Amino acid sequence: MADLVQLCVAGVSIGAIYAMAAIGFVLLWQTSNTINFAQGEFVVLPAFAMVLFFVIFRLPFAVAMLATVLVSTLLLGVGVKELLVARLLKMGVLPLVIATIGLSLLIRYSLQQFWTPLALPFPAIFSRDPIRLGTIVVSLEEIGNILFAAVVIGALQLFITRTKLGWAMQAVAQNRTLASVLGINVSRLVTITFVLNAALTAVAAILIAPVYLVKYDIGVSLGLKAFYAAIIGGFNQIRGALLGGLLVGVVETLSAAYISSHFRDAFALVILIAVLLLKPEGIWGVKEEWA
Amino acid sequence: MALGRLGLVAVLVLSVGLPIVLDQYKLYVVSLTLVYVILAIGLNLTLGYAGQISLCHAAFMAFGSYAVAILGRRGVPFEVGLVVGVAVAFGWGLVLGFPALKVKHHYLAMVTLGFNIIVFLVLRNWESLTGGSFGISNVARPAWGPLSFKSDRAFYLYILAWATVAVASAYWILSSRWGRAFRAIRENEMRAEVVGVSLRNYKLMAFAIGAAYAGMGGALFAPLLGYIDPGAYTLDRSIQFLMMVVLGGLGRFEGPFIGALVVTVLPEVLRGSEGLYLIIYALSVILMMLFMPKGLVGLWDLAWRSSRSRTSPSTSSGSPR
Amino acid sequence: MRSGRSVQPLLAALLTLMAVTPASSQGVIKLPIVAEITGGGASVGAMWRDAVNLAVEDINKKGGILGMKLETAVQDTQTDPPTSVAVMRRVLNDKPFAIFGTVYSSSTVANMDIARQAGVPQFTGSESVIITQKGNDNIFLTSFTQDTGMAKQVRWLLDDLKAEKIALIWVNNAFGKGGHDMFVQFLKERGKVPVVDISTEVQQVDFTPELTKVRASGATHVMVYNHEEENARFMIQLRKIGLTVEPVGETTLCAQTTITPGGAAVNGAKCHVGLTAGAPVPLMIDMNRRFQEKYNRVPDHNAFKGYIGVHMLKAAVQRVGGWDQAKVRACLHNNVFTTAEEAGLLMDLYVNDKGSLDRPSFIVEVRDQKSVVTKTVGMLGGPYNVRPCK
Repeated sequence: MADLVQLCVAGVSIGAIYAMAAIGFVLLWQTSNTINFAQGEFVVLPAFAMVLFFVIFRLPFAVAMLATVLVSTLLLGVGVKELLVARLLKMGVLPLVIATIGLSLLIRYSLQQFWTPLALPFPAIFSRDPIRLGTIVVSLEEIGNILFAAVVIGALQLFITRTKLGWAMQAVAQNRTLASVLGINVSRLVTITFVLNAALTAVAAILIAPVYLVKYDIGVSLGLKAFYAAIIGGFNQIRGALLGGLLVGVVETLSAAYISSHFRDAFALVILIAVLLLKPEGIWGVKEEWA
Repeated sequence: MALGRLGLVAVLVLSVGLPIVLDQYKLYVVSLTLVYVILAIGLNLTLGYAGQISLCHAAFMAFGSYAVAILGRRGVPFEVGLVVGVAVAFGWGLVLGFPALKVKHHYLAMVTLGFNIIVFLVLRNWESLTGGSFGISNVARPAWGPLSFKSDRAFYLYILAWATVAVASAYWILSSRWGRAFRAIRENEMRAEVVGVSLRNYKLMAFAIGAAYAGMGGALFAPLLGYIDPGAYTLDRSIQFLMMVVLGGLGRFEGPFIGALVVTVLPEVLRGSEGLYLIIYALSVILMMLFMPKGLVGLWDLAWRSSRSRTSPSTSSGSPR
Repeated sequence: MRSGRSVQPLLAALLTLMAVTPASSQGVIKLPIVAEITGGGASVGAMWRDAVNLAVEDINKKGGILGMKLETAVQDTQTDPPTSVAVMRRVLNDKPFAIFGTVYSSSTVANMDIARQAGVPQFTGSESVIITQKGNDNIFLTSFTQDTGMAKQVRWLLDDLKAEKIALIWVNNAFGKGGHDMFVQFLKERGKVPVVDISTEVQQVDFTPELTKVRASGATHVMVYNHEEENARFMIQLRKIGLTVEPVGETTLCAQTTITPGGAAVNGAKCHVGLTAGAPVPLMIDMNRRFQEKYNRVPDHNAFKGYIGVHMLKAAVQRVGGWDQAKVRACLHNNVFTTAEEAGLLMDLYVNDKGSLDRPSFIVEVRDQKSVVTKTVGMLGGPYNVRPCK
């Protein structure tokens, strides 16, 4: 029984990380119909930036974090939107998908070639000392990840539902044409969404780096899990991404322990396929109107 | 079609003559490209013509490869193995067609993606059947009694023969009512249904036929390489085929040829730049999408238009575009 | 004519393809490197390549082999078996004397037959036992295969460490499965079974399932057999969860590429390794120093393998007395090569009839984030005889 709790804590902790990556993914899809195949790399790049600012330049943590978020929002937010998305959006879904695949390869191989193919260590943000609660052992790192993610997601939810900008984003998500008729500058809003996504992935990178270690290819599985999480939870709701992330994390961990480690990657997939066939909009999703 | 009858014959003659002039490395690259063309034709049918997103093409390819490898080890003739592989791929393509009826676009992409990963896991873990991570080596090349296709040159001709079958059959399918139905579904599903196209059957067929081609390609891939393991059939491979088809030109008959050529030959050509060529390749993909989102077939069209007289007839409505 | 115009570009393409490759230049022996420079195996392939280049440089400085200078060129396989096949074929067009690579077993199994058909001896960094089971007499490993390695590992675990209950954590690919199967087999021969046997995935991040199982089983030792990053993550989490089990490994757990990302968590791990930068062998210490001078990083076992591989070729060619591929091949089977005749081998070694090695190895412990040798283990078999090759 203690093991079960231990596993759930681990699952939720890793799930919180998946959720952070999934949320930005959902936001991008909602406001700009972008399926960002490079979402995993959007986390990897800021992770390397953090190594640069915090480990190599030895800047204070808060300054390094700020610098990372800045770099991320400029390159992956504004940069990607203006150079790629703005041009490709009107061509349909597929060219943009291929372009983001190309982008993910570009980021991945550039980091590998110009920085290092090896994994880099990253100092832990929260303490790793074991805290014993009976037979269950957790550390501040698990708890910290969960709390941090909860705070960020909560803040985001407030932003979306309580601010004018948030309402504008919701409007664009529901019906782009109508929103622009109502006077919303859709293009500017899409840029803001991309900036928001880049900021989110930068924050996720800081949480992920100590756990994943910083390596050029950690984006591959992370991006995939973000996909699963977004779809399972609900592709058009932030809390859906949260639920999806937690579900994927917990299912992965529990099934590896109790069912089969050989098919570890399959269980989340089975749930994914079941959700897609039974309730395609996701568990907490809302049916999309195909305007 | 753009080339004209005589042009096609010339291409065929030259293709048959290639083994005489090419060294074993270049012949291998050409053989591999031909195999990828067959696979790309299948995906182009499912995705380009019928508009169904499939991210599990590598899984269908695996059915072909493993059928040939496993049956070959038991002494079954290669052609039988190929037919079995194609049939298995076709069957699973039908199965996958059913989710295609229920969900669309990125949802369908996810279902197919999930299928690919599950197939990979089964291949890896079902050691008694597939050899697991250790794979299967010495995959036998076809032999008709005393006539053996073991040599690289002979096997190249064998692949060429099947590739011709694939191209011809694709042409025939796309000129038939199937082709028109696929294109109707791609353009506008609602309208197609109103006009009387039975969405359900055609969607299932689009998946199944595309998968069958993948099975054929996979069956030829295994003996070309000589050794197969589950790692060749991951999601990365499916994405590679997706890139081939989009880069070449979705829903265009010439698309698979151009795409397969680019994706196979480009890294070889860029090889001199050591580690940089993958970066150059990724950059090229992005640039191609930015400036030629309809695919490289746009260049082909441009080149063609400039060398034809203005009064020559454009492709008739009956032939695949 | 319309069709005539379409034929012209095709003819042009054909003529380009037909371009004749130049013959090899006089007085230089070509030794191409076929390795994983990009893709999942990039760190491994880079080490191999750098060491082979260092070896060639060292040899050329001393006048080459039998008066001939050596020349290398690197070709990237992208850690993709079909690509490695294409690369192998391309490289064979230049008529090299021998080929160095690949390191990943799944690529080597795919491409080794082609080298064999061309009669070009191939030196590989792969360690998977399936390579020696294919009846290929043209492939030469630069380390022992997993059957020798695991045999020594189990012997050390049971005889030296007196391990009672052993948990086994292994990565589910050809490398991990090969090691797993050998480990379990040798344990069985001693009447033991792992108390936990659980597989992991490449790029896996969370190891709580594995750790809770280990904890529940009461294991005294845990054999950790993943790739380097996963080992690092595993060790970090093992310390976090406060497990008191003793971590042991074979090569990868104590590698520098595990210690660097894993940090202090890896301290206390004990491994059986074939090659290590911390070995108290003067020749290895010297190679280590020169490698660091040239490349600014510590060589790992893949680097040592590459360096030794080149010198295996040198030793064989010298013993044969000429550049004859068939004779060199025969010389490299069932034979002993010592550092007395060729210092670049770094340690005496025996090549068996399948192309795999037997060689002394080391027990290391990670202290202060460095691999420290605590014991040297002799060859598994022997005594072996030196065979002449003329």
